[in-house]
Amino acid sequence: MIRFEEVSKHYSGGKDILQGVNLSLEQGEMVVVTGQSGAGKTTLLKLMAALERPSHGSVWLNEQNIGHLRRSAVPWLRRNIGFVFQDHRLLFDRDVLGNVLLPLEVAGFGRKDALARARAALDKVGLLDREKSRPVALSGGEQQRLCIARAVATRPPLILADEPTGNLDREYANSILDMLVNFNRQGTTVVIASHDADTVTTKHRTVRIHRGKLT
Amino acid sequence: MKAWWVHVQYAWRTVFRRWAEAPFGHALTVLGLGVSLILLAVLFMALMGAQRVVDGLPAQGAVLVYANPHASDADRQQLSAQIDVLPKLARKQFISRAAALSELTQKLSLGEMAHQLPDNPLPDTWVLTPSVLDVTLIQQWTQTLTALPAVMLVQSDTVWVGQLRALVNTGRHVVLLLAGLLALGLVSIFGLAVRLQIVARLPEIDVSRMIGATDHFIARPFLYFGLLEGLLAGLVAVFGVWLLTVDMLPRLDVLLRYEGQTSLIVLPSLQMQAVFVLASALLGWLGAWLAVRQALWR
Ligand SMILES: Nc1ncnc2c1ncn2[C@@H]1O[C@H](COP(=O)(O)OP(=O)(O)OP(=O)(O)O)[C@@H](O)[C@H]1O
Ligand SMILES: [Mg+2]
Repeated sequence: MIRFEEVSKHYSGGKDILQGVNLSLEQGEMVVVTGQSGAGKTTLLKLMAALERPSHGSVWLNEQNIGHLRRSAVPWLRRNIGFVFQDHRLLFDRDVLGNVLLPLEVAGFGRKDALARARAALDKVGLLDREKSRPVALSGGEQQRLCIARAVATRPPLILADEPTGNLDREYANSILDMLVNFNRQGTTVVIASHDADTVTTKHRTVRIHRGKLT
Repeated sequence: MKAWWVHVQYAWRTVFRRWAEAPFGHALTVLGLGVSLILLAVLFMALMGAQRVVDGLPAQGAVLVYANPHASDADRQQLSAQIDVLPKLARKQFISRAAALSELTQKLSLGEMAHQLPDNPLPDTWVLTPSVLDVTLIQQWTQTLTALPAVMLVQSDTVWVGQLRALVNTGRHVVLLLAGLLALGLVSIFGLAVRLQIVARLPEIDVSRMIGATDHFIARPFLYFGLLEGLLAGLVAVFGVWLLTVDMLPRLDVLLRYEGQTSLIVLPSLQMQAVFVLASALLGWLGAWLAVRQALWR
């Protein structure tokens, strides 16, 4: 489903963050990306969602070279990806339900359908009774769960979760991981980035980024 | 098609939600824009009024030729012959001095008094109508005719009619220029209002992009917002013009109106009002489009 071929990435003027990365991910797989802070985990995930383009090499998603995608084709690709942002990116001028509705609106779901799916997603993360709250009124863990609800609301075939358990205590972290494992069991491909290798069980495939290379 | 319709509905919902978030501010913007539009409307009404004055003027001014009462028959014949060969003569009418006097006597009810005049004081008169309204042509006629010994005086209302027309045409030009400038100003104000909105929504725009929103999806609510603001401002202006015509203009009209003539104030028809509101909505859309283009589609 995802294939990296000799991918290098540097931001303008900076040194290579990723160097000649090769990686292949099958549909339905669950992969954990680990590495120190600043190793390039977020960068790797962003390359998968065409939020960044490779400096060298090519990234393939469903047999499409996303480095060579037309500008107008990018939105369609992103709609099939549920991205859990490391910095949350919640909208503080919308309530909880409004935040989860956003990807459904973007994808063009009708009002009724969108509402039903948004509530189903909120129910999954245990926030259904908070749908009228503003994100500021949520605790850190609740905000994290809201991010996940937003990422899964459209039931995308691919979920990219960047530090979904960051800064959470073990209990919360485990419940969120359980959730992602559940999505994976239903066939969703899941990529998790986490600097804390311990949070992640060894049951799943793990790739480590070290000095720009995968180990 | 279905997705498009869903997105359009979503965009309008977004517009109303955003409006509801700051109703007072948006209302003030619309009011300000509406008042500026009233100015535009009044300019156009003034133009239409002036046009009506010009339309009411004789399309072909007449030239009056008064004959010298002491002219010889030969001189008179020369005049008559000359009149027949005037270029672009549409019509000529001869009023003999006797006919003129009897008409005058009737009109003024002079009765017996006229007969007591020792001599008919009125001259023979020709009324000449040119086929075109052309000041130089009339000047040429006047010159030719005045030179003849049988002619006492040549009078023409054509010159001032021409001048008035030229004046109104200049006025129309100025009004159109002003209207253009005003429209430009309005577009920038609409654009500014939308730009402020865009800046306030940058986080939402960013996230939407990252989860797959197209440019159109992002732009649509802003464009509709401009359209709605323009529409409402246009309605405010139409209402304002109505208030003006009901209250102020009749007073003004009394000053301007000649007895028995049509009013100088031209009330805009319903159709024109609709066109005006639509044009205003278009200006709003244009302003929004410029703002969106500048802020989002670089
Ligand atoms: N937009 C950017 N411009 C320039 N440099 C960047 C940019 N984004 C990331 N970097 C740099 O790239 C390197 C890798 O960043 P990245 O966010 O991928 O790390 P990470 O593994 O996700 O770290 P963390 O665990 O702290 O989230 C860092 O050194 C960072 O400073
Ligand atoms: Mg990161």
